[in-house]
Amino acid sequence: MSHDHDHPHHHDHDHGHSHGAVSGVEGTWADPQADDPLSVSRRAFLATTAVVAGAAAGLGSAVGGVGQGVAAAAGAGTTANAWTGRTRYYAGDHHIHTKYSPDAQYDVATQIIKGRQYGLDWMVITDHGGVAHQKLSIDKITPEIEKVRRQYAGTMIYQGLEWNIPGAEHATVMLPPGSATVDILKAFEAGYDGSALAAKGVTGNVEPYAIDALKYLDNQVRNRRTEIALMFANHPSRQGIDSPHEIRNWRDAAPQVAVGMEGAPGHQAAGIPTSQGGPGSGRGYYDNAGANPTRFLPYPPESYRTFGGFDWMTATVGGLWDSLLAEGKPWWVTATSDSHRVFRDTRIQGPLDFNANGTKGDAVDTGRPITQYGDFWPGQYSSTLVGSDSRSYVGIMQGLQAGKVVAVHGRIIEALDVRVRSAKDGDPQGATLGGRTWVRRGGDVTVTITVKVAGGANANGDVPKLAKVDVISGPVTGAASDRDVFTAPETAVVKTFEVGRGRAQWTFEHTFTNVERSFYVRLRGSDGNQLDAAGNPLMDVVGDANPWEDLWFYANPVFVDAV
Amino acid sequence: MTASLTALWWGGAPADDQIADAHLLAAVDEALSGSGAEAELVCTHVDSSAPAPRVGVSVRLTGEPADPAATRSALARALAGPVVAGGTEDAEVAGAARTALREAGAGEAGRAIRFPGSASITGRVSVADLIAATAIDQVVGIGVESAGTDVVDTGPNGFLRPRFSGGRLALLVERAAGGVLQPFEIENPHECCEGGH
Repeated sequence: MSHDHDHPHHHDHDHGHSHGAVSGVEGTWADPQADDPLSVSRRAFLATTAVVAGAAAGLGSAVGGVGQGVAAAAGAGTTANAWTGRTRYYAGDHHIHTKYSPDAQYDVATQIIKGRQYGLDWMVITDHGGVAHQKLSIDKITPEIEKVRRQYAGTMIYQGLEWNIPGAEHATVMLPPGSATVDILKAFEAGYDGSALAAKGVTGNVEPYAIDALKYLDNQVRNRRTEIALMFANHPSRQGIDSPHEIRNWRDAAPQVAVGMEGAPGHQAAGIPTSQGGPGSGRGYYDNAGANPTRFLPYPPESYRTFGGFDWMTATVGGLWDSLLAEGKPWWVTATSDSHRVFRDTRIQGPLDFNANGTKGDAVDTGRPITQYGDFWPGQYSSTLVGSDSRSYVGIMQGLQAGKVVAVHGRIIEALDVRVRSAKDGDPQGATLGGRTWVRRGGDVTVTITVKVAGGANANGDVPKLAKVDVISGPVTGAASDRDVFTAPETAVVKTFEVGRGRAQWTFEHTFTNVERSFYVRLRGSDGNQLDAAGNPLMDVVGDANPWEDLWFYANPVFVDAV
Repeated sequence: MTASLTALWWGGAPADDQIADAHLLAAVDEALSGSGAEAELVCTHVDSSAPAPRVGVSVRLTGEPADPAATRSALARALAGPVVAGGTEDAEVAGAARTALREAGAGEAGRAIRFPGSASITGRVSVADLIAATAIDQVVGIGVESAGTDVVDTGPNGFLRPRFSGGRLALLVERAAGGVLQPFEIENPHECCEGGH
């Protein structure tokens, strides 16, 4: 393998790695000192340094420089998200609606109680942004969330927002509870929600507002109004309106805030066929053909469908997600419920006028199951496992920010431990998900995967059987000259492990030998029920996609610098 | 189907970018009513030349209207936007209307919401019959190979929205429940958020 240009990762930046081998890249990903007030100023300082590093490496625009600079700050011979073998993973959902959305119906407690029943440790309430929500709903839901937090103190319940990204899709915005949380959410929504902007007559190319919005959130962290703030792009391929350059721009504008996207959208029950008593729609409600005039025209037709329940950007090997990873850009994937109205629930929306009240009011029970609903309860089907050193609001968010994240459907796995290291030629401790480690050129890198399979039935009453684990890898080739690129041609499945029966836990090992180029490695696994000849997920059939018969997990990458 | 150079093409730019297909067709038909000409092929287009994309519409007429200028004005009023005729050098009218005219004339892009034969199709029809009975030149499977004997379920209203590409009108189809194919664009895709914003 050759390396055709001098890569900034190879510079040995000394940024004062004061906490040595502990996990986290300072100031960016999972800073373990983030609870320390000093860390905020240090974070700002390091971000500045990173820009300089990117510029010194001769990288393009200022925006590109930030992104690459952050990667460069990790530097050669440093490790982020160091593997410890002790990381605990917490299941959660960052996309949940309530009766404070015009198209949803449950109160906060209902969603939280269901999520707890289905094993979730953390949840984010994300009602739709809009004029009525900003003016009315936030004030109404805030005491409701606070009350439920007191009732279920063991569960982390975040107040968030489903932001209408100006010029693009929706996104989760989440903050930890704090004295300024509600003020920040209100100001953010008033200033930067796409529908609020439209109501003010702001039209035309509104993409710059999305950048300003993310910088606003980043500044709330820098100014210590909140410890951390995160954004995840939701259902990114549903309408084809999240163009590749927008995703890159969001991420580069605020790499500590804009950290990922739904690898799998919610609404996973929507594809259950009518013959099985289901809604018979598209899985994830991905059933349109690209009708929005603002769509990114080069996206192919199949991008408007899910594959094995996952968004095309994530499910395509060598696709959009890989094109970001191949740049060395940290960008993580999750799985959520997007729960509005749940398949076979008996309730309908309350009678109130949303615009006048900021809520539909309490749901009304009809006494009969409604089969047109396409959603699951939080945790019933989808979960996002997050590795964190502490069971705390900020700790979970730091884990999300750091990419210690696995997206899981239908309990196809219970836990995953991934260690990537070069025992002889680099860092013998190695890194885990979302992290970064290093190897001397020509050395070997070993990926050790320990997967715990389902120890019992999932919410459908099935004990799912993991059939295979794919190891996917591609070289890190540096900043893309075309910010609308959505392919990574060198990324491929490099190894598939078949998973047997009769054991609770399986360990697999794959070694990359004679490594000459920086690369990344990520994992996915499947029940093996619906695969194409290459082992990839099939495009989900609109009206015929029972999600319980097609289960996958996707784990976030580990980057390996060849030095 | 290839576009004839002598065909009568008009391009328009509706003021409403979100205009529904049925409303667009109604506006076109109303404007042409009594003119002696009808709209036999109507396509929507996306003009991406400006930072904010605009929707355009192209119309192929069955013949010259009795009073072309008056009919064009009527269509412009119905669309609340400019209308440009093919073969003219109407420099005043640019943007979405011009793009629609150019794309339709070359058959390079455009989503057909009415086309010759479209009114005759409902329910389940074979790929071969679809091509024989309508202006659709080819049926292209997304994630599936399609053969002439395959059956396409067009639904009770015969909803078909083929698209021009490379001078040919192609209907994209995908697998459906029950071993049939269905058009990739369906009549009522899920609308989020009550269709709001």
